[in-house]
Amino acid sequence: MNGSEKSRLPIKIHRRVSLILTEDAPLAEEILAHKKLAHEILGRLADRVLLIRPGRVNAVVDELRRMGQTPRVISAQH
Amino acid sequence: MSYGAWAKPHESSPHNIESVMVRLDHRWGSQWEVVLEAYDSQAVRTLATSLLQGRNAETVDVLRKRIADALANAPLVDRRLRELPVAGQHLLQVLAINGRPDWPLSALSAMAAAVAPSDDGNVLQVLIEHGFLLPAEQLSGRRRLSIPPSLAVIEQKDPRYFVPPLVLQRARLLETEWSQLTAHQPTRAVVRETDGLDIPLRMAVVWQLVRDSALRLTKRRDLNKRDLARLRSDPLLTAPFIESVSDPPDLSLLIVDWAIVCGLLIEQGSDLLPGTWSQAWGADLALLLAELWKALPDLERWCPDDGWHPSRDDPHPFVSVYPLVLALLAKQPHEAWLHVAEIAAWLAQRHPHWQRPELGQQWIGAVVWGLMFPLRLVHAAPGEDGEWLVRLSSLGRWLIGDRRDLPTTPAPPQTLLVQPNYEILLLRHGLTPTLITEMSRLARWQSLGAACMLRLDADSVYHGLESGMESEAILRFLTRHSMRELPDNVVAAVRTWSNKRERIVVYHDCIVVECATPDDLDEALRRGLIDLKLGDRFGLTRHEDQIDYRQIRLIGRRDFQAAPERCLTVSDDGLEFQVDPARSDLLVELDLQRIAEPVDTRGNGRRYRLTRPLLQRTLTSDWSLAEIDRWLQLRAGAPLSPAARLLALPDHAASFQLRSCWVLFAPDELVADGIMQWPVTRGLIRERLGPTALVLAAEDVPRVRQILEELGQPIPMESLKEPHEPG
Repeated sequence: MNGSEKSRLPIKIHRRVSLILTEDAPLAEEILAHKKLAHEILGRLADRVLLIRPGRVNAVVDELRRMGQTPRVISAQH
Repeated sequence: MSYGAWAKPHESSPHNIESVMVRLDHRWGSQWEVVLEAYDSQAVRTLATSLLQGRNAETVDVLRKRIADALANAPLVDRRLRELPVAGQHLLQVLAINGRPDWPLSALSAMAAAVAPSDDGNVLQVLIEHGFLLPAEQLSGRRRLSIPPSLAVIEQKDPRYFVPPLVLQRARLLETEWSQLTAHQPTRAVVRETDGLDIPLRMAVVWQLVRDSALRLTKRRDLNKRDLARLRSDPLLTAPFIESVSDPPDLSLLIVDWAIVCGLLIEQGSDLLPGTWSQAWGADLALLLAELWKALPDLERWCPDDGWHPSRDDPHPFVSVYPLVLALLAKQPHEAWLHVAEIAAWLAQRHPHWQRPELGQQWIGAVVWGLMFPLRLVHAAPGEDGEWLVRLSSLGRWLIGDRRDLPTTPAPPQTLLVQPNYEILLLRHGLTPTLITEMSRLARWQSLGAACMLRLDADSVYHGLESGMESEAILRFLTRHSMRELPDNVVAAVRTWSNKRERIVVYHDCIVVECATPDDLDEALRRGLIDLKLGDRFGLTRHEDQIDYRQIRLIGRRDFQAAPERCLTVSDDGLEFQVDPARSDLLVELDLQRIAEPVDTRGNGRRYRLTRPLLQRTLTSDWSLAEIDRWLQLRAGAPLSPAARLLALPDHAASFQLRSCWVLFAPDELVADGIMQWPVTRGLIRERLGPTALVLAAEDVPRVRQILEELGQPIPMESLKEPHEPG
């Protein structure tokens, strides 16, 4: 392996991922404890990162708002 | 259809009707050339005969070019307009006065009948054959258009036609004679004019209402009963106009329908959702009001005589009435005050819809006082018997092209007052469409009076932030328009509410970058390949084009929304799984970690080993054995291995037995089969353990030895061993 190969980082790209990033881990727990939201969460990538079921972002955002949260929504298109 | 293509007016260029019309007609500016190209040879020759007069011997391509030149040649267009029948001139002038090029054929036909009752109805055919009316349909591919020999043979239901831009501009200048209605003298020198804000403000309210909770549509495109009731009782939408002669029926539903045709509300399936603010909302109020007037004929569910009526089968007649009323007002002397009943009578005599005498004329009040007056297009003055007289306002004059300068009213920049209780007092004299838009985004409308009231709260500020505003920009905006310094508690609250929004961030359709090790992730962050870290090995970036492929070696590329793939290999012992990095997705390792612990997670060949504690915990919580089997079948191509299934057994689930016994090992399988089959020995064999191993009871050993000896097959004594006793 030459020098330039070494300096190239081996990475994998996952496209079209929708996720929730919370301020802290307890908030992620709170979301997972919510029955309707838990159904829309596919997995917990990290303490503060929850993967959203494809196509269910709007439902998740609506449910978070119903919970009284004010999520910031960032779309790749913007 | 929305007239959302207004360009923001340039400060240095004066507003005049031509420039406005050019902006309005942007879409049609190129469309008429497209239609000419699509016309078949017969249609081109028909146009050439009427428009070019006598130059029909050229090839079709040459004629097309000449027709295009003619329709862009003002003197020639003027000549042809003057040669048209009077009905054609009047009709084109009505369209020009209204500044809107496209109309449905039924409305054109009704307008033609109204402006020239004696005409034989052939005028539309004449205009089509001149190229002054062109089909406004979507053209695709190489489909050819023809000119029908008669409008009666058109199969399409109420097709739309449009007037080429230059024809529309020149038709306005035609000198035509119109009926002159009786001019009346106001009883008092009081001229009333609205500020034009009532309808835009209600549109902002309905946008906010729909943003908070979508309206539902039925299959017949009506609003559902609950929403109808909600809208009809909404105190803001149903509040009477500030300066009012007569409010239109079903005011709140008029606003809904108007907002739909302007694109402020959009239909999506069975929902009515908030749409976008057109560019006119960023321009002068007069331009916005003109846009609203031009959109009025597109209202399908509301009409002036019976309000909300979405289930009618045919288009209502007011599509053609609005332009006729404006044209009639436009063709009267400037200072002449008219009685609205006389306008209604003029129309009722001529318009085909009012040929039935039982139809009343109450609608004229809704058109003039309920629509044109709040749009600031007309003035009102008191007449005799308590009736109100009408004439065009300066904005109305500008709209029809009689005034070159846009009648703007300078609005003072400081027009609001933010109070410590989070209420905002908004004075109407400083209101602009931009201010209405911005305030609708970040505060909740409370009342629409001479001074409007709004309220800031966490939710409204959140909506403002979601629409793209930043907290500091909100504060700057409020400060710029405020007559006093913002209260400290309001400033602090806006910042607090804004910070609260950062507690949960939802990323939609973003890119997750997976690195092999935490060190690699740090390096990716340092190189700017990711925006932020998500745990030890994952990073996030919003755009794939942010990734510099020269700096990475791409291991794999997965679409998170694609179906899961087989990406696990099971070891020989049935307990270890190796992840294929090229085919794995984000979920596989998350799921795997529910039953297996990482063994080697450095590098690309990540391995996990199934453990009994994890497996047991998962089985007792949220994953059944069958679900694990299904998942493994999908991910590894096989269910749990026997070894894994052994680990999956709950405590005390299996009943094992430990027994002492004698095993007779036959020399081969055939002999063992013989012992099992021969009736003398068959009853002495307790169990067959394998091909040659047969279990005997201890008390039967001497008897078996004896039988085998009698067969001449003694068992040597040295092969007799005591069974192993378990410790």
